[in-house]
Amino acid sequence: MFAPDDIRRWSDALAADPASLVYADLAEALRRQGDLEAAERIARRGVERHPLHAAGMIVLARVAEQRGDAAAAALWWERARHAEGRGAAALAATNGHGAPHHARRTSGAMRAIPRRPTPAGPIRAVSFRGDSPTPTFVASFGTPRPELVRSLVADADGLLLASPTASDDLPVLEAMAAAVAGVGDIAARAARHLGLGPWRAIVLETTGDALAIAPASEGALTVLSVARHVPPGRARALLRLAATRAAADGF
Amino acid sequence: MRFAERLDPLLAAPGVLCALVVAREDGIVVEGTGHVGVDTDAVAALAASLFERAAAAAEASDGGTPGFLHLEGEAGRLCVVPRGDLLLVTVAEPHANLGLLRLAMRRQADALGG
Repeated sequence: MFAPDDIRRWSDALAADPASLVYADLAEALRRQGDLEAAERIARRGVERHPLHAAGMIVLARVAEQRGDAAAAALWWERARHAEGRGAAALAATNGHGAPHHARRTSGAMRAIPRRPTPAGPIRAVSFRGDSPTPTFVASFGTPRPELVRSLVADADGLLLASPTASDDLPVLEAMAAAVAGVGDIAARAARHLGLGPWRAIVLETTGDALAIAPASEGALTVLSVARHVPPGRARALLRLAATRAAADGF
Repeated sequence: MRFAERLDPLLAAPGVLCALVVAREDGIVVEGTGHVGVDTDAVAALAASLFERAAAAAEASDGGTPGFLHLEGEAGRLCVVPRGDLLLVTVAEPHANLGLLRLAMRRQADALGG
C-alpha cells in the first residue's frame, strides 16, 4: 500500500525531474485512488519518455482494465512483456542515477506481468479514447496488400494506436508512430498559411519505401510505408483507401 | 542566373503559383518568385520544415534517401524536391497537373546539380 504522503512526494519528485521513473509509482497510486484520467495521463507521458519502461505500461494496462477496455489492456500487457526484456537492461542502468528504491519496485512489477493471451497474428486495433474496443483496423482495411510494407494509425502524441502489421514488427511500428508525431501539425500549419485548405495527404517518395500520411481524427495520423516499386499514384490511392477505412473504424 | 533558369519553366506551367530554390538547412529563399499574394518566405520556411520532418519519419520506416514530397490540400498543393543542400519548392493550384509538375521539378532539380 502507499503511504498517505506518497502521492505528494512523487508529484514533487516528478516536478523536479520530469524524466524520473517515479512517474509509474505516482500513476499507480492515482489509479488505486480511482483517478483514472490522471493516472493514464501521467503514465502515457512517462511511457512516451521511457518507451522501454514496462512499469508505466502495466499501469496503463490496469487503467484500461478498470475502464473495461479489454483490447487496450491486452495491447498494453503485450507491450509491457515486450519491453520487459529490453527494459531490464535500461532499468539496471537507472540504479546508479538516484532511483534505486523505485528501480527495485519496478523490477518487482515487471516480474508480476501476467501471461495474458497474446492476440494471434496481427495487432488488433485499439482505441484509448472510449470505453469499448474499436473495430479492428486490419478488418476494415481488408486483405493484406503486397504493396504495403507497413501501415498504422498513430495518435497525436506519437503513440501507436493500431496496425494490421505483425506484432513482431512492433519496435519499427512504434518508431514510425513516434517519428510522424508533429508532421500533421506542420502540414496543417503549412496548408493554412499557404491557402491550401485542409490538408489531405503527404506522400514522400524515397529511394527506398515511400511514406504516405493522411490526417485522422483528434490529431491522429494514418501512416503507410509503401514498397519502392509502387507508382506514386498507387501510393496515394492506397493512402486514400486506408484513411477512409481508418475513419470508418473511428480513427 | 542559373537558379532562375531552373525556375522559369516551372512558373510557366499551368496552375503553378510559386517556384523557389530554398536552403534546406534553414528554409531561407535562395531564388524564386511567386504570383501576387504568395508569401514566398513562408512557403520556403514551411516547406523546409515539413520536408525535414517527413524525411526523418521516412528514415524511421527504413525509407531511403528522400525525393519528391507532395502535400495535398483541398485548395492547392505544395511540392518539394531536394537537391544537395537545396530544395526546389512549388505551390500550385489543385487543378495543376501533378504528374507533369513532378517530372518538371525532378528534371530542373537534376539540372541544379548538387
